[in-house]
Amino acid sequence: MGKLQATLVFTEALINGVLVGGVYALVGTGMALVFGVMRFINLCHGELVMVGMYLGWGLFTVAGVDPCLSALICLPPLFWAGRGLYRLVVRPLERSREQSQVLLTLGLGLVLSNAALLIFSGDYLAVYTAYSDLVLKAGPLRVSVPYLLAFALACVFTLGVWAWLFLTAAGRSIRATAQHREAALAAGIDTGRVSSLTFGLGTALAGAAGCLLLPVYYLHPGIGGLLTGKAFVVVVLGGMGSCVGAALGGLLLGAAESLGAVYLSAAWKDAIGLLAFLLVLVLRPSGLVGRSRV
Amino acid sequence: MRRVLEGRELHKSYGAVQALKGVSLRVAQGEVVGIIGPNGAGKSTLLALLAGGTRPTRGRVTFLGSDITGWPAHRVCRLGLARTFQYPRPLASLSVLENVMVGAFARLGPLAVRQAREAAHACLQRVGLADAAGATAGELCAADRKRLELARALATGPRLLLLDELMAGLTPREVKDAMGLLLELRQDGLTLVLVEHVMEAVMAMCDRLVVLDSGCKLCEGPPARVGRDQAVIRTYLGEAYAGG
Amino acid sequence: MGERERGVGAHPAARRGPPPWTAMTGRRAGALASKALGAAGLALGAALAVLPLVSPSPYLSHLFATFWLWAAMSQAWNLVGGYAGQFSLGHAAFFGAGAYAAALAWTNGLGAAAGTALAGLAGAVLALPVGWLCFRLRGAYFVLSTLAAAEVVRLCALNLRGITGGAVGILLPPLSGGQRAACALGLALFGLATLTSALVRGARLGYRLRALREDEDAAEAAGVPALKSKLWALSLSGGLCGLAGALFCAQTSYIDPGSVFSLADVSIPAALGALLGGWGALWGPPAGAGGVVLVAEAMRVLLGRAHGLAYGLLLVLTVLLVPQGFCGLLAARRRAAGGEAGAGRP
Repeated sequence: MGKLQATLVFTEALINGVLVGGVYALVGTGMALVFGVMRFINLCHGELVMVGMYLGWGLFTVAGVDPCLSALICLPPLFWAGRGLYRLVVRPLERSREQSQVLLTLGLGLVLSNAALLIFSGDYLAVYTAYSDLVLKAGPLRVSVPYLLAFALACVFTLGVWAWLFLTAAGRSIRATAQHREAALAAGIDTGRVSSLTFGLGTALAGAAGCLLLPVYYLHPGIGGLLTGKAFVVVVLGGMGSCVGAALGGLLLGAAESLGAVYLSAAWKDAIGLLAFLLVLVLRPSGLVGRSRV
Repeated sequence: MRRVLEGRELHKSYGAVQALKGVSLRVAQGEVVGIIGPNGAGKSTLLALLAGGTRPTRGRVTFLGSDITGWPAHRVCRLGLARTFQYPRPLASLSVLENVMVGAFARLGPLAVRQAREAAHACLQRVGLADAAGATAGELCAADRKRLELARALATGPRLLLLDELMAGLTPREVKDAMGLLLELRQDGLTLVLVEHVMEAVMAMCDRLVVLDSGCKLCEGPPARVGRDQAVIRTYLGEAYAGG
Repeated sequence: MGERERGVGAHPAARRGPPPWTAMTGRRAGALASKALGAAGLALGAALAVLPLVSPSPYLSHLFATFWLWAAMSQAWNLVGGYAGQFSLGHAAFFGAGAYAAALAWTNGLGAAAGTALAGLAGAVLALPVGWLCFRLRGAYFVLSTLAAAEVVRLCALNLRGITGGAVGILLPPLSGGQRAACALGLALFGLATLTSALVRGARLGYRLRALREDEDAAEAAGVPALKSKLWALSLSGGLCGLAGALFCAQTSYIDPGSVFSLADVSIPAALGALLGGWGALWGPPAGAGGVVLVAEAMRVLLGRAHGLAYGLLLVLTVLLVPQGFCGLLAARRRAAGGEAGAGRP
């Protein structure tokens, strides 16, 4: 019995971890796109996720819209907001030194999180839907329905982005730019437009991921930094700038955190990801998957 | 003669590309050895393996009796093996003097700034760049950048100098100056290894030539004999000129 | 052979044009002016240093204590970020380690001096593993790794509840002598940091660090041990940050992981001072830090709850409008005006 119990605990932790990891993968995919195509370090990605979370929360509280639906509704406005952000502040620094990019995006993150603090105060918010407490039972295993739903939708979004990248002309020009910016420019691709599209897409994905994270995380203005950290861990695990890598990295981080929380302690959960981040950076800078870009 | 530097069976692969396929090289005390070969022959790779910082896939490098295979470049440098880069790499925002002082500090204590300055001045004098001591290194012209590169290497107090295409892009007059300088250095007892495309310089100065082609050693010997070698002529000028 | 033709057609006596460094005639006048400026600055600095020590206003003393603290932090950051060009966003790790070392020493009955020494030691020693790990990486990866390293240290402080008290933090008895003592200590710390910076700059280490900033491979080839030099710089810098942490701890009488390991409140201001003021001169980092402290304080007073928002906006605007810092702006203007060969020799 003890052994069975142990296996059960392990399997449940693994499943829950992978489910959350699917959403991490979506968060990471947005950041990997922006880094892979633009070589731009976006340290406010987590704050953009936070914006999506507040949008989802607002839609739910005011109009009762389900967060899963909000993830779709969020896409267009955040896509255009991302393009606007690119036009306004990112483009002037796109080709500049890393430290300028880092300071710029850290500043943007401060603006977003402090704006959230002013508007919504520092309270912890959450969304309770009809299925929030629902649990799916498969034999002795118990899986949370909101987690499952978030995972499924995150997979749909991630696959959608891949399909878009590989099947459309715009996606092709994005991939070409990621491979070699100058060559793409020489081949007649408007790389400025590609950057704008990419940043918009990254922002939209961040927003969608934010809505999907609502059942998993409490929402508060300080959550952006935490999520930026996770996004970076995911992106580095998968090899900076690789979308496939980011997806795998997300699943891996989710599983590692969940197992770590069960077997070590919940408090050390975040440290595990960061340590993995440092070790991968130092030992295998090209990431666990390899060197492919986008 | 005493052997100073030796590379034994050096292999280097970058992924699937084999840049060097088992090249051996011996350099004796006081010798001037030229490494020549067409583009992509592996000259720069060989130099990188000899100068440290790059580990060969296979093979060993010994310098002054120490096995320096895969040593970091700064340790190799302080053992007495200095190099210049094919495309000069000035420390752009530092002054010319400071550039050379960085090299001089390789052999000086942490507070020996005055000695470093004096040594640097002497080296600048030597390469004919003393007037420019206060200029910003990033703003030098191409020929002066090469002088600076040489001065910085000299300042580290080397026993052996590896010079990567020092004369490429210089005017004939500057080539002549550089040759004079190298001959002087040689008289001071320095051992020189040159990778070079400027053939008149190579032919005039080197005791021995090593010809590389596609990562292999094609032939080796005194310049006059290498100049007559059929395989070398074929590689450089094509089949039509060989056999004549 | 193939290359022989190259020489034949060229002019044999092609003389070089006038070298760019001959255009330095205006330098002497400039040097005189900058000397006068320096003397004026020194006098002003001395006056500012003494004023809060004799003034009866605790607010003024507090403000200056804060200023000296951040000026020292910027000076310390500059050793690594400026001289060696290694853009660290992890200096909060050393600051926090120092603060915790001091707080733990003091609450466990060690004397003021012993606690302070321990704080410096904690920062300097912590810098070694952090540097050993992060200095393998370059560019963006380095920045991210320092960020992550500081975050790991913060999580350790947060979770090792048995030692640090966790999120509750540590409460200390207030500093005897109040803000005026903090101000005097801050001034001393700033003096130490500036002295260290000046010594490093003039010694072999300074030359090596600047060489590494320009071109790491070329510097290594010229005999510069890259990792060792950077570790020295980071360790000195970390030690100074540790001392600054101890001072912060004494000044505020309360620390918790959220405040002393903060990215936004510690790492960024330390870097920002040096970036805004520029790494070229000794007075750059403290001048930049002065600007940062004053603006932050002004916003806190004027804007109240919105000051975080304004701080972020200011950061964004600064990066957008003055990307190379105010010092770089000055240098560029000087270069444009004087037509000199450049401001390479500060």
